[in-house]
This record gives sequence, C-alpha cells and structure tokens, in this order.
Amino acid sequence: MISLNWYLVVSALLFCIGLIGVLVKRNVIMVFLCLELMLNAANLSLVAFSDYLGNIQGQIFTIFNITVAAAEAVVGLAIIISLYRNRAMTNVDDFNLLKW
Amino acid sequence: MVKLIFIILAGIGVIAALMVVSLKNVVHSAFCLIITLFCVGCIFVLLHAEFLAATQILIYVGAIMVLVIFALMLIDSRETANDRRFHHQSQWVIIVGVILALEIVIFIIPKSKFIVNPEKMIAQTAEAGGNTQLLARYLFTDYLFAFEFASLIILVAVVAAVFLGKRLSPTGKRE
Repeated sequence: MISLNWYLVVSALLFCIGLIGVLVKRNVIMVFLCLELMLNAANLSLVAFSDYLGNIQGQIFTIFNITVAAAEAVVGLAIIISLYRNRAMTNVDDFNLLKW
Repeated sequence: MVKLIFIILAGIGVIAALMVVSLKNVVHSAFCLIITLFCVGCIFVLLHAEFLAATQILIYVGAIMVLVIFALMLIDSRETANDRRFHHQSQWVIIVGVILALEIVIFIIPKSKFIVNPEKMIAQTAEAGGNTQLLARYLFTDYLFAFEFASLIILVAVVAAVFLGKRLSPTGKRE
C-alpha cells in the first residue's frame, strides 16, 4: 500500500514544474500548456485525498475542474488564434493591448 | 507491485513534465504533455477513480491536446521558435521554484499527518455498485446545480470561441 504522501509529492512536483514553466516561458502556447499541467497536478492531489480520506467529493470537484479546463482551453486558444491573425505575434511580452 | 507501477508512472510523468518546460520545439512539448497527462490518468486508476481516468484520457488527451496541436498547426511555428525562448529573469524564477518544490516535498508533506481511511472508499464503492455509480449518485443529487452551471459555462465558452474566431472586416466590425 502506497502512502498518501507519495501522491502528494508527485502532485507538488508537477505543480512546481508547471509554475516555473508559466513564469519562464515566453511563447503563449507554452504558457498555456504549463497551465494545463498545474491544473492536472491539482486534480491529482484532489483524487488522492478523495481516495485516502474516503470522501467522494474530491472526485466530483475533479470533474468540475476538467470541465472548467476544457472551457478555458477553448476560449484561450480562440484568443491566441485571433491575436495571431490580427497582430501576428505569439510572445507574451508583446501582449500589451490593455495597458494604458 | 502496485508501488513499482506507481513509481514507474510517476517517474515517466515527472520526466515528461520536465521535458515540457525544457524542450525547444512547441510541438514536442505538446507531445510530452500528452505523456504526462496519460501517466496522471493511469495514477487515477491506482487511486480507484476509474471514471476519472477515462475522463482524463478522453477530455485531456483526446480533446484539449488535439485542440492545442490544431492551434499550433495554424500558428507559424518558425516564428515561435525564436532565439529568446525564456524570460530575461528566468534564473530567479527557477531558483525560487526549485526552493518551493524542495520545501513542499522535504519539509511540509512528510511532516503532515492525515487521518487516512482507505477502506471507507472501497466500502462505499462496493455499496454503490461501482465508481461511476457512486459518482453519479452524488453528481445528480447534491451537486445538480453545479452540474447544470457547468453546462452553462461550456455554452458560454462555445459562444465566445465562435465570436473570437470570426475574422475582423476592414472597417473593424466582425463579419
């Protein structure tokens, strides 16, 4: 039987890798991929807690997490493609349209 | 045996996640992320969440990553492979991120005491007749409002994607 802590360690590692990727990468699609990684790390720890504490609500929350991630992917990619078509840029540092 | 499978899956998942961050080509990173998501889905099976494992493969690997790769094919990858891939302050971010990871993994998680009761979930699952039945029982009773609200969020996302995907006319109006 694996201890709960092992799952949490894997979840924490995935989350930190995703966090570093979001802050370091400059390509907007790479930032997006690392965001998905962070969401997945959170899902992993929710499911691990759900199984070890005997409470199904962690899995229910994971379903909603996946739903929100799918909606976020759709809107995010639409924004990225729209920006690329109108301004031909994919670098996050160039996105300053909303700055005043 | 289960421990060995878990270590293999977790190792492949973490190494693929590191490759997502470190690889130069965005398409390669996307494929490495697919490997990570697949490994996380397999770990869900070890955690007695079979329905979520199937959902993870279907939605993340099957839908979201296909969408991302589609978007990558629409965007010119020659421009995305520019020489300055990393932010100019990236060394500080990496130092802080590694310190954060070590702090969580070495100091916080091993010192935490959780009152675990793994048999409770197995008993609940057996009583309901399976993981999917147990999930459905809660999803369509206690969480029915959240479930309906999630469908509303997806509807809004679809409308937003169709609106944003339209081409701007020269006068600035969306056609």
